[in-house]
Amino acid sequence: MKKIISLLLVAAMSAGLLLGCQKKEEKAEQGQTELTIWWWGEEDVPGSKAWLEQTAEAYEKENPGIKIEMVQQTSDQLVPAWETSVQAGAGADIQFFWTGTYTLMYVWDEENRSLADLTELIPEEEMEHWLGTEGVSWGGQAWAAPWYQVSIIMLYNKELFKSAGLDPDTPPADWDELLAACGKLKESGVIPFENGGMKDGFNTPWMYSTMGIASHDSPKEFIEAAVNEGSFADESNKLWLERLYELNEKGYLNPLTMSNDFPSGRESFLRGESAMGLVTNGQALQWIEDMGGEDKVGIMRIPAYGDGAMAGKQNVQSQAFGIPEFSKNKEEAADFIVFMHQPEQLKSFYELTKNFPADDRFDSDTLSSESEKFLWDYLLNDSTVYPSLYVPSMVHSQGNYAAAQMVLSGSTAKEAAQYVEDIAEEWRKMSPDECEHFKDWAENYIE
Amino acid sequence: MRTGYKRRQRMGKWLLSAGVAVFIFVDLIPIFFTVITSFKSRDEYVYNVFSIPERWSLENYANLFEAYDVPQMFLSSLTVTVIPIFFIVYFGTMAAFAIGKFEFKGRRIFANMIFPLMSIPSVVMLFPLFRLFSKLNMTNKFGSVIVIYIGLILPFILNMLTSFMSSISSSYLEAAMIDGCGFWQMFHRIILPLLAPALSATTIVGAMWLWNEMLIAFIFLQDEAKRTLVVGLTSMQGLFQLDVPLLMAGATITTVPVILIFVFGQKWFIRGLTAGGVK
Amino acid sequence: MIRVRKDKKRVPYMFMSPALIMISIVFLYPIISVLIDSFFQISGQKRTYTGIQNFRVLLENDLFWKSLINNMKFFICVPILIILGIVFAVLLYNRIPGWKIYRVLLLVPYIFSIAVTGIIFDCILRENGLFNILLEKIGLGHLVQPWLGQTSTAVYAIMAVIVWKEMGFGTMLILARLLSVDESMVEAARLDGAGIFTITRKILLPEAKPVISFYFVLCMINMLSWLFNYVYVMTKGGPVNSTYVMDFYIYQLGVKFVNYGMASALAVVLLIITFLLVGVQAAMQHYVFPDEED
Repeated sequence: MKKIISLLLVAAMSAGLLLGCQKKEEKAEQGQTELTIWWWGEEDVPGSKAWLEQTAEAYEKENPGIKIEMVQQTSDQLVPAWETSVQAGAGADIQFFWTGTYTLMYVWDEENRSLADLTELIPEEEMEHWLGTEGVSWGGQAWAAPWYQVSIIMLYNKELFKSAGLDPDTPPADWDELLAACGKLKESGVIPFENGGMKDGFNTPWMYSTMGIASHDSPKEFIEAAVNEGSFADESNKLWLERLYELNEKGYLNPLTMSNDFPSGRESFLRGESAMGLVTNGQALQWIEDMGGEDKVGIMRIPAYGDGAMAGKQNVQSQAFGIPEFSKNKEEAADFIVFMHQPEQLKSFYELTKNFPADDRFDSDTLSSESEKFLWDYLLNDSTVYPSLYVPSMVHSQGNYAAAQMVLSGSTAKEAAQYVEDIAEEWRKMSPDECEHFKDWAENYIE
Repeated sequence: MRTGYKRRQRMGKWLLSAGVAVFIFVDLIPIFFTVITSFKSRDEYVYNVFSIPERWSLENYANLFEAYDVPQMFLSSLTVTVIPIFFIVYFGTMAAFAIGKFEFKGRRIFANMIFPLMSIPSVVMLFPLFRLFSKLNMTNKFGSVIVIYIGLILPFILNMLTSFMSSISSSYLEAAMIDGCGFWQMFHRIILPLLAPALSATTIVGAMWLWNEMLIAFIFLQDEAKRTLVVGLTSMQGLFQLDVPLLMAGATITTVPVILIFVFGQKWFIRGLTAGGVK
Repeated sequence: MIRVRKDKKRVPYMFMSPALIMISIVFLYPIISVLIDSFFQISGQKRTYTGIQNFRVLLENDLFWKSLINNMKFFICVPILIILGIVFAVLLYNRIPGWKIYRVLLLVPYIFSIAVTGIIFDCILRENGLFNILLEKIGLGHLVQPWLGQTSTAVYAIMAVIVWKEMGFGTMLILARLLSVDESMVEAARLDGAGIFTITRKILLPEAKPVISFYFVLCMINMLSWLFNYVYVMTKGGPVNSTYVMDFYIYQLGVKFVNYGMASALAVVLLIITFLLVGVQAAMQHYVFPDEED
């Protein structure tokens, strides 16, 4: 008798355990297809979550047989979760990707391709409208659908400029002008340039994308640097570190930069403590509004930190959605992706996030303010890629991050650049396969 | 002569006590700082880092509850702490019973494996487990964390329980056997009741570890709706890094439950923690 | 030990089984998995067998050696914790007034989650944080610096936090052992005129040796295997990778650098080092304290 009771107890506990597994799950009803989306983006593009929820709801209304489940990922987990899902053969039906290496590394190996062929799922007329597909293209086709285009732009505080005796309508356009402006701003008592918090290093890609492009003529050079020995320590790849070093040495940066973390370090601009600052384009418009409008705060072109053809261009990264090869609901996933690109959805995306969707059907006539028009124009006519997506992820996250911190802690640019090159050497040894693909990528790169 | 010595000795003890008190006060300053700062408004913290707030404010807590679904996070923490604990203590006591009271092949091995298991960092198990639960489609579900926690903490619990188990006399158990007591009965009617205080101690210490755990909860419960308090605080740190009072409010809320249990159950805590090391 | 009849031989196994199953799922399966993975280069779906290459690359890797050396640097905490533990245990053992409360209060830092502790101290150790402000107030303003933000002090700052947090545990552990020491021995020594130092040296410390050696190994294990939370929350391995430790590096290899083969290889290395350490302790206990029951 006691044995039976104890067995029942164990059974009850096991039931409790299983219940814990099912807790807080919304079970899809019978006959429904459940689409799972693993996504990221709220940090770069505040408002994207609201848009996704809204869009999913609209789609579900039109398609009652589909239920959409969205799982937001954190920056740390996006890639490992995806990688694991590939190894496990189960995961999302729609997967978010940072582009460049982060997408292509799952595509360029034909035998082990983890992304489904979109040309078989989505009509060509649809794919033609997508913007920013360079970062996801291989073998002449796009392997993921770009979602939005985000840029790191530079704001400047017109009032602080005036107080320092600078012309608020002509912000510095190249390196020498920048140095001169910083000098005057420093004298007037403010932080000339807020480059963002560097304690955790996450701000590095922002500096890499604004300063690092200046010594290059083409994104191909970044890809090649990965493959060619010694390249990360050469002049063109060292430039951004030299610039950073000089800005820091002259005291033009935030003295607390090594104590501040990425998300909040840049906020000194919002508080009026620094005269120039880096921010994403969507957040910029919000800040301009918060700080009193276009009379007080303006968007400036990225100064030309060097002489390369890419100098001063607007960096743009598209972040994209792909369909994993293992998904069992590819057609439904593709259909939803197409839905996300319809003009009505594009419009509401801009309204909610102030970031440009990656589709040329976006109606730019809806842009009202000067700043918005400026950004759109800059994006369309004078933009380039986001370079940290074009170097191996290890070189960037281990090398560049540490190099930037080294330079801000007093090491010379030469030492820091050599460190990056050392990491690259290690990468070449550790990942010969990836190295081969980078070679292919460089050879087949079309401007 | 003697009384003078005793008096000097007593005075010495009081002096030492005062010295230790001062040390402990300084030692606990970070904790005072945490709680006090949580009641300071963000503006005040900019110029007043060190002293008592001029104006006690609840704005940090208000902001916290507005920015995050704190009750939900509290429930998540509770779920992954309470549900595993029962299994852990039950399974653990069963195993400790076997190891402590029976001679069987492999007993030595199991007993000696406990300590090595305690020394394996959870990061080693992280990726294979993530892969396993991805295959089972159980990522972002409480079940995964519950199962992992049970396995993860068992060695620590076993370490404590085996030492408690030795306090039960074998001859007493053998006497019960002669009286016709089956092993299952023995376990439930003799061992468990006798060990009740030890089990309370183990439960409390285990619960503390599970409540405080970060890595597994961080990786397996990424969904905002399921995050535990500790994980939520960690993600808060990145976003609100400069708002120290807000962070301190978060830290306070996350720790208050454990502190409460500690204050009311210190005896159990100490008994449990000591059992692991003092045989 | 209970004597069991022949036909009931399976009983202990039955009692062990639930725990064994859980431990197999959570420990055995991952460790075997990691062992296997360490011989492969894994990228997405592709698994290429590369033999011991991961280990070779690891041994030539700067960051690996930096991590290992950092772990060893953290060993400095161990004697500090032991000495502090002994000092306070002896102090409290002497029943100075309020000792019971002191023991509890000393444990309070231990109760905090490591992640929460890290966040609190991250705020305190900032350039404009509490610690620096206190330094200025007591006239040591020249010592003000970004403790976690510069390579020369970051590791030591983390060590200080670890000592802060762990101190109470050692005290409590040693004190518990001391409290079970035969009172008559101590009394006899006192009557013989022995002072506190002599009693400590001749009676208390020898009695506490097993606990101290246990605590020693526990601390060493902490410094090898349980530093991740501190590093992740306070410095993320920086600045300039100066606070990388092995278990953090495993995480980075898997999560940031997405190299599971190497992550597994490093995990294997860490396991080997840890098991060697535990093995040494077990051997020590066997040969140094042969009279101690297992």
